[in-house]
Amino acid sequence: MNGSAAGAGLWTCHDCHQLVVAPPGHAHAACPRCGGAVHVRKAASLQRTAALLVASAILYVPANVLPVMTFTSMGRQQSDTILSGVAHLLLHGQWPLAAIVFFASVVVPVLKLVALAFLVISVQRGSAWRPAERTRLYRITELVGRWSMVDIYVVTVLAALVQTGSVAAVEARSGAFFFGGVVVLTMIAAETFDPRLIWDRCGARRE
Amino acid sequence: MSEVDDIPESNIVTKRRRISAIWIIPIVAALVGAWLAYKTISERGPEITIVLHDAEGLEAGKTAIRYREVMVGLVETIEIAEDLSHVVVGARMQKRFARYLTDDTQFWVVRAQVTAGRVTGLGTLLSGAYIAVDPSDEGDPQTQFEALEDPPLVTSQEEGRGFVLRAETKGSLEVGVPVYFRQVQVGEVVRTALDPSGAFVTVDVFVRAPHHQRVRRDSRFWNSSGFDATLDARGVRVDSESVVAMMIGGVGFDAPTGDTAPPADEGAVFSLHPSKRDVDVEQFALKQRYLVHFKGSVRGLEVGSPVEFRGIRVGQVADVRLQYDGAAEDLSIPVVIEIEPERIGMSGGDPVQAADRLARLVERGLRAQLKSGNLLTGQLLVDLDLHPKLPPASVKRGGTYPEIPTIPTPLDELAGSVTRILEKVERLPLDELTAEANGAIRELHGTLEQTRRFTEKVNEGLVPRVDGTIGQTQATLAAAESTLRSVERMFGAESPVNVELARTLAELASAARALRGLADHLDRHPEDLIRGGSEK
Amino acid sequence: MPNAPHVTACPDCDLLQRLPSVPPGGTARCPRCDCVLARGTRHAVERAIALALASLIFLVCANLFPFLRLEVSGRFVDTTIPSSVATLWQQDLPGLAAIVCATTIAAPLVQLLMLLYVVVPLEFGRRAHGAPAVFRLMGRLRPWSMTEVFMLGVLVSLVKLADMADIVPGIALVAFSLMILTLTATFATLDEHGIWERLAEARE
Repeated sequence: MNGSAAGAGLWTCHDCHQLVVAPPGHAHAACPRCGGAVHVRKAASLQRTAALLVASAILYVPANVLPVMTFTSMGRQQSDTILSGVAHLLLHGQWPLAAIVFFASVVVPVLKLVALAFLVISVQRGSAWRPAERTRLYRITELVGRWSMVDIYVVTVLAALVQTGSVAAVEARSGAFFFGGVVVLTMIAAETFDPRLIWDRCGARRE
Repeated sequence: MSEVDDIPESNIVTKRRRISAIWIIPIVAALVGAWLAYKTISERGPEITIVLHDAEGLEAGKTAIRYREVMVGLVETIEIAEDLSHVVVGARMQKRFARYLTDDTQFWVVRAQVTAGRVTGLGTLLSGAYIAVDPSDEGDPQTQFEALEDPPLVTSQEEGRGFVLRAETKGSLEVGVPVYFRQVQVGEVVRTALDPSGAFVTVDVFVRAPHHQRVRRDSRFWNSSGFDATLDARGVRVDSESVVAMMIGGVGFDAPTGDTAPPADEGAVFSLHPSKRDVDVEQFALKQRYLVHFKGSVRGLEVGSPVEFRGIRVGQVADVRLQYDGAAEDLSIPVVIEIEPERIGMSGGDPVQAADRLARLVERGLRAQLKSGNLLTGQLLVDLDLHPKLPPASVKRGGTYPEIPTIPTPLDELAGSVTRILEKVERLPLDELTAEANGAIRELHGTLEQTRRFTEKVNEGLVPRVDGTIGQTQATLAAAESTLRSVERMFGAESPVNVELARTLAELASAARALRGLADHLDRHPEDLIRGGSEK
Repeated sequence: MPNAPHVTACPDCDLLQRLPSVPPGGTARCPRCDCVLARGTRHAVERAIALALASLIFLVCANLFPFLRLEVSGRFVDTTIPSSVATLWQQDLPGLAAIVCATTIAAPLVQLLMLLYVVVPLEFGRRAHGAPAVFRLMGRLRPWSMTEVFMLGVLVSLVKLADMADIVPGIALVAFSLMILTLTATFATLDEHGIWERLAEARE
């Protein structure tokens, strides 16, 4: 193998990155330094990531269809989904804000789903295509995913603040919970994915 | 290498570990944290409890305590008393407000109220109820308060003076009714109550500074409630302070001698005259009493009924009673009248001279006669006139009072009065009143329309421009409130308009009865039309 | 020989490599995938303690004091961060409340406490009981602390509400902003590799 630790019979601890000599005939070991589980690669990485991706893709539907909050004013109710919230911001001419919310709440989750799906599929198919770029894509996905939570926090702050009785009241709705679920699940999915798999395949091809 | 050995060895100093500059960060953090905590704790004001009847519209952590519409405290807890008889509200006041929390400080809840009497606080429908405070730095510091049931009309911060008026009846005087001086509102009625003795009604009024100076010791107060339309023997008189007073009533006062009298003290007691006219009636010192005997019915003649000479008032009836005349075995009705000779300049204040002159007039034909003063009310008056063609008579002396001879009442005059009265009824300003009411209703309609449009606007978007519109709405609601209040006052069961209308209608009804009586009488005695009503 | 170059594997691409000692302010990166392997931080442990303590103070202030106040037509609403979570709970969304609470309050707090538990004894050359396990869990918690995202959410909400009502920032907002700065500094300069090495050397 191309100089990888696994090729040299060494496993790396996921948590403290300690090199461990692979015990022969065992699938996993305990890290002598931090006590965490050590595998050659994250256990069932592709399957788990794929399953979590499917789950978040399913949650993504109610997250966008159901309202995330209800604005009540003078006895009239108006429910907003993620997208209609962005549309309202655009209508009121607040396009910088609309851009931020659109990016964080629409672009990022979709890109994340697509990127992780692409990584899983490419690894599954044993692709050796641009491993460094794919690793960077993975890192960006990991880094940017958390910013999708912005809309959840907006709903939280609005629901907490706008409680002025008959004048205006904001109530968080179940759509927000589903959306939060999407963000959390995709974050877990990103974590269960093992980027070393990208390099394993390309090393194998090269040899 | 002895040379080398001679060279002294340098001292090795182990440098003590230097404390890293990074520790500045947590130190600054600790300082900032400590400062924030100190600021929060030091700015905490006193905690007070307010006892309320109920907590309708109040919310812990949201309801503010306000003074002059500025927040000075916040309701933190709302609990029911152990015996369930009241609600105890715990509130945190601002620190700088602490010294105004004394025995004299008053709290009350401001919320939208639509009661039989009035519509108030409509603006709180939007902003929610709040607790208002009337601070006072006099008295001992206090942390437990009992809220007032109703908002006080005049707070202790307002400059001015309170006075007590005594009235025979409450009339249409309500709390909040304006007090006028030269038709300018200078204060209002703050309380009306029946005196414990039950003999009169006390009306507390508050006159704002600097106008309280206008209330002098010799000031006279009168009730200018509604349009003071009085139907009496002289017909209809309309007297009013202003249109507002016409709608909701009012109290007027004057200062007959201006600045020469000293200003009245706080709490001074005045009597409240039923109308401005009663104030204007001059008081005549010299009164001479005479007796007159009428043979027919004196229904409509009361104590106070005018005594006129050819239509000019010269006195009034002092007493009317039924008397059994033992000698003649007959019933008679002696009527005592008071003549005020000063009204006609009959004397320079000398009673004997005045009596002599009247006696001479009687010899020249002066006779007393019952006349209908007002057909609507059936009121009678005693008319004095010279009838030179009548057989001579003279003042009978010997009784308690000298007696003036009388002649019977002519009926045609009654008929003449009917026409006059009806004309006056026609001139009652009913049209204007209706127009006024219509205007108020139109205004209210417009306000409601505005409110509806505003609500629609608010609902158009998640981010409505409410800040501007809220103010507008509040103004609108305030307008609606005052309009409603006027309308309500105008048409409420106890409103002056209603009372006056009811009275007028009752009077019209009795006028109709009188007319029917007249018609019946003429039916039975048609000859009276020609010969005049003479006693049979 | 704590600073001797030794062999390690890149966590992202598993490339076996020798890791030389890192000069202060520098980072060691994987030659193949550019993954950051180690950081050179002067007084790494001392710095971690100082920054973590500062973050903890700001975190407590940010959660105790009023965060935002909304004023509209004379009515106002005061919130703190915990009260915002409580509002979600009251609106029958316990799941959402849990997510928000975990990512804005619990994760940073637990993370800081864990870090202090590990590094304070380490400063005196000792290893707290169970320190490796605690430090491992702390690393796992890192992605779930989303204070800076929450701040962006607050800013977006403020702009949304700006037209509608008056928003008065409370002192907790200041404390929260400062906490984001110190929290970011704490973990951006945290030399995990170095701490793992010192943990391995320290005695319990």
